[in-house]
Order: sequence, then C-alpha cells, then structure tokens
Amino acid sequence: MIADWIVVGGGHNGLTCAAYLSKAGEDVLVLERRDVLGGCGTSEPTIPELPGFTFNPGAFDLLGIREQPFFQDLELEKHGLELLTVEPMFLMPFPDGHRIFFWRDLHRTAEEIATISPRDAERYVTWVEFWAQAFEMLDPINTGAPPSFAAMASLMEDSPEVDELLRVMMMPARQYIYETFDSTQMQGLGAFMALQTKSSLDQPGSALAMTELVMSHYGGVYRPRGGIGQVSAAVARALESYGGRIQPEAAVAEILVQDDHVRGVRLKDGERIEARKGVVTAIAPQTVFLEMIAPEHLDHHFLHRVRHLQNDNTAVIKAYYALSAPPQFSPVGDDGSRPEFRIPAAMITPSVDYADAMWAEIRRREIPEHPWIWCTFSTGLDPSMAPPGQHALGLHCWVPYELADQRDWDEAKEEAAMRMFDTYCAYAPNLKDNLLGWAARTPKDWEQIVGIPKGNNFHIDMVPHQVFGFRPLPELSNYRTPIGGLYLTGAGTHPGPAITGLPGHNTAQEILRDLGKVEDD
Amino acid sequence: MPTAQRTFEVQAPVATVWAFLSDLERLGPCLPGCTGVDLLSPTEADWRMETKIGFIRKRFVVRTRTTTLEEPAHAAWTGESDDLTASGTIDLRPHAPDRTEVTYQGTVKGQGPARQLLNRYFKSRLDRDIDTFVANVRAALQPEVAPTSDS
Repeated sequence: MIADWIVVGGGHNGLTCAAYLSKAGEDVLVLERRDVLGGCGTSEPTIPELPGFTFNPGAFDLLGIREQPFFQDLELEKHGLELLTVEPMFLMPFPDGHRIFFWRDLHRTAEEIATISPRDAERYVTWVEFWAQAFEMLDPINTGAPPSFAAMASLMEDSPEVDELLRVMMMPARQYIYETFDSTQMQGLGAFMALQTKSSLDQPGSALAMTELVMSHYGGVYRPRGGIGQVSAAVARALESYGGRIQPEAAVAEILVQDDHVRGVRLKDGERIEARKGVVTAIAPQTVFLEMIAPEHLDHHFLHRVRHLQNDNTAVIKAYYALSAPPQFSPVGDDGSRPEFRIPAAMITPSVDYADAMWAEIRRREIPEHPWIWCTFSTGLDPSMAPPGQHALGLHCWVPYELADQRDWDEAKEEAAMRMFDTYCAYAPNLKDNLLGWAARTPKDWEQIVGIPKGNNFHIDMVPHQVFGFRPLPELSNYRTPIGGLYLTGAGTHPGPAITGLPGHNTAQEILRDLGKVEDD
Repeated sequence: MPTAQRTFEVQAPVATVWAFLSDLERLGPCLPGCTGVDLLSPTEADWRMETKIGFIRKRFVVRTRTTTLEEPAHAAWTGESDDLTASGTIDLRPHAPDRTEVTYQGTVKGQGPARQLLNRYFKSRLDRDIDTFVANVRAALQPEVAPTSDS
C-alpha cells in the first residue's frame, strides 16, 4: 500500500489534520489501531452485558466548538454532527444544600452565586469579564503554531491588565482562589477548575486552568447527539468526502526512516506502507520517538529530553453506570420537576480542603476517598444514549497511575468505580437502588486500549513548561520534528487536549505551508 | 495575506463619492481603529491607528500613499508601518445621477516578530472591520445614516 501522507492515529486531531490535507488535494491514509475512531473521544457500548447503552469513555461535552476552525472549515454539521445545547452548562452541588447552576448568561449565573455570597457574585462577573479579554488575545495564539514569547512580548504595551495577566500566569491556583473568592463554595469551584489540569493547587501556573470556565460563557457548551464520538465520525465523513482513506485495526509498530527522512510505516502485522511525502503522528510524542523510531535516527540529547517529558503519576479513570432512573438531586433542592438538574455536567469538589485531601491521596498513590469528579448524565439531554426509560451516567476522576498497595488496576477498578458512585449518590441518593450495571476504563485500560502512556489523556502534563511554544518541547512546538517529513499533532502538541480540532488544524496548516499550498504568515 | 472586499451602494453622485474616497484625510477615519490623520501632502498621510486585542492596545502610524488616481473610477493606496503593510483599492460605478456603486478591497499583512499573530488576528477581524468601514463611508456620505465606532 502507498499514500502521499500517512496519519498515525484516528483520534479527532489525526482525522482533522487528514481532512484538511485531503481537502487541499493531498492523498491521505489514516491508520487507527482500534476498530473505533476517536481516540479519547469515542462513544461506545462499554457494558457488554447491557446492550443499548452508549457511553463516552473519555471526553464528553464540547466547549465553544462552533468557534473552532474545523467546525466550519470541514462542515461538520453537513457531515452529520448534531449539537445539543447544554443549558445550564454546569451544576455544582454542595453538601450544605447549596447548589450553583452555571448558565451561559453571566449575570444569570451571578444571581445563582449571590444566593451564597453576593460579594463573590460581583467578583465572578468582574473575573469572567477580565479573562474574556485575555482569551480574545489567546484565539490567534491557539489557531496556529505557537508564536515565540518574544513575538508575544513585542505586542504588549505597558498596562495594569497585562501585568495582572502575567502575574496570574505564574501563580499557584491556591493563591488565586483565595484572592478571588470569599465563600467556601466558590473557592471549591476554583479548586475544581484548577484541578482539571491534574496539577496541585500549589503548582506555579496552575491558576490559569481556573479560567476555562470563562470560555463557556462566551462559546457555550454543546453535546453531540449520539455521543462525543459523533465529532470524529463527522470529521471522518468529511475526510472521506474529500477522498481521504481510513484503515481501522491497523496498529503501527514502526515509523520507517531513511537518510533522515520518513519513508512510511510498518504495521504490527508486518505490512509496510510507503509514504511518498510524509507521516503525521496523532499519538503521544513520547510513543513516537521512544517506541516507533529506531534510536539511531535521533540525537541522543533529544531522546533524553523526550524521555523526561513530564507525565506524572496522575491518570484518568472513567466509570459508566447504567441506571433505571434519572438522578434526583434532592439534597440540593431538586424535587424532580426541574429538568435543568439533569442536563448539565455536574462538578464535585465542594471546597479547597476537599481538593487538598484528594490531592494528598493521589500523592500517597491511593484511590481517592474525596474524588474530584466530572459527572455527565447523558440521557438528560439525549435519550438515544440508553434504551427507553433507562439512563446513562459517566463519572470521570483523577487517580494514581500506580497504586501504593501494588494492586493491579483490574483489581482496584470496582473500588474506584463504587467510590465515585457513592460520592455522586450523596447528591443523588435515589440512584443507590437504580444501578443496573457498570464498567470502568482505568489508567491501565487507557494505556492498553487507546495507547496513551500512563493513562494520561493529555499525553503529557499540562504544566507551564509544557504549554504554548514549549509543547511538547520547544524544538517540536511548530509540529515539525528532526526527521524530515515527520510531523506531530494531537493532545501532546499546542494548544493541548480537549475536543477542539486545533492541534489537527494547526499541523495541517504547517504542512500545507511547507508544501507551498498556503501563504506564509 | 488577509484580504476582504465589499461592493455596496451609496446614495450620492459619483463625483461626491470620488472626492471623499480619493482623499486620504477623509478616507482614513472611516477605517476602524483610525484615531487621527496627519496629512503630509495631497497624496501622502500618516494614519494613526489603534487596535485592541483583548486588553493589549497596539498603536501603529501607517504612512499612506495614493498610488493610482483615475478620476472618477479607480483609486489605489498603500500603507506601511513597522508592524504592518496595507493596501486598498476603490472602484466606483455610477448607478444613477444620485447613486454610486463602490467596490472596496482592503489587504493588511503583519510585519516584524509578531507578524504571525497579527495576521491571524487581522484575518479573524477583517470581515467585521470592512463592514464597519462600509457603514462609516455611508454615514459620511449619507448624513441620515449613523456612523459606527467599532474599533
């Protein structure tokens, strides 16, 4: 077999990159190790004994997808992606009976917060408005290869807002949480958002992660009908409509290099596929350089740097629950009559103390007793995710990759899944008697099924020295590599994880620039 | 290179529209972000521009020159600063004694260390900016139309 371009990995970024190349007239073949496309963004029937349920094993909701270049450029709606609006966007329940709905309308959200703390409500509005302006600056940074810090600095003029932005970018989240919010509950919100990057609240730079919530007020939150895997399915249809090819169940064992230029790949079954122009990898960068390329083709120091990319001991577990009833959040005022309780993703981290306890448990390599949980009740908005009258719930939490008690994750899976479920049931106690079945994808499963090192769905950690022009390393940040014709994309490249299509878009633009098919910036 | 074009009609005679759009001192303030014009000669001016990217305010002084004047049908200008180059063309076609069709094409390109960022930014805004330009021209030539102050 032969193709101009081979894309290794059929996650949404690999498919997006391939679709842009195909649209520009290139002959592209995508190789995916699984029989399911989407990488960390699939929708699958993960409980074999309960057919009819569809779960999102990894990613779930979409933030601001309508503003992402791939949404329009690849005509994803024309190719079958149907977006359901998630409104309210989020629900944060607290053990004291309070709860906050986060609506797209900032001021409506502030009214919710004011029931807990009027001062925090005012601050929330100011805080969101400040960061909205910062994100206006971020858009041009994220929609292409990351600019150098010198280039960014050359645009900056002396202003208190720029000083504040730079100060917060260096701050640990804990400091920013305390100086922004007074109430325990809103501090819990800050901790929840900060922990999304799997960083300690004391990690310098972790404050920036708190600001993701801001984007939701401007870009909205959406859920694809049929599950998150429909994004990759739509991109795949776009790719095929442009003439691109996809080969599932084609696991790549080796990237073939000759005379410092990539020549193709060898599959695990021994088949060799020639790439006339190049290869794009949409998998973790450390897998590419440490496992797929013979070391004699790479500089020793470069390999040393790749080997030490930060990929800490924090991994993801996602558990799925088939239910015979929807959750009723009675401890926080839900009498079952208000649908808004069952639409948004719920966020569980009620305080900074709770977040600290969870982080300490992870550092001790224990299954958290205080799990930080993203909760998605899919059928609240999309009944097609379960058989009629039944319901699908997904809970997503951070856990240690390796447990201190040496247990294998197959042994520890049930304990983790039930601990998350029990935590959720503290807010939705009716579910205790309505559980039909469950399954979970542990860090080990992520590694084995999807191929992400140490079960890290970010591929490498999102820490200050691995973002923007440093992701995954400065010398790889423009998606090119030391091997001619070999390019990187995916969550391990700028701007990082989440279903945005941005790494795939950006890599394709750089390739097309190298081919002389788009103008130099 | 970010480029945008609009064709629109103005309720004014072609001579009036020509007099306005071929005059750098009057054309400049119609461009979003123009905070002032220093006329250096009948065909040369400094447009003082300010653009806001989030809370970064970037100021440019764009030295602008008229390069073509084919009265009353076609004009072209170019502009340059440390951070960008720009150009524009204007084509006029009388529709009626008091109505003129205007075709405006504008191009802007970043220069210097931040050129990539500037180009992405210009690309994201050019359509909106050119719509604002059209509204401003109409407002200037048709007094009953309110100007737009978007920058």
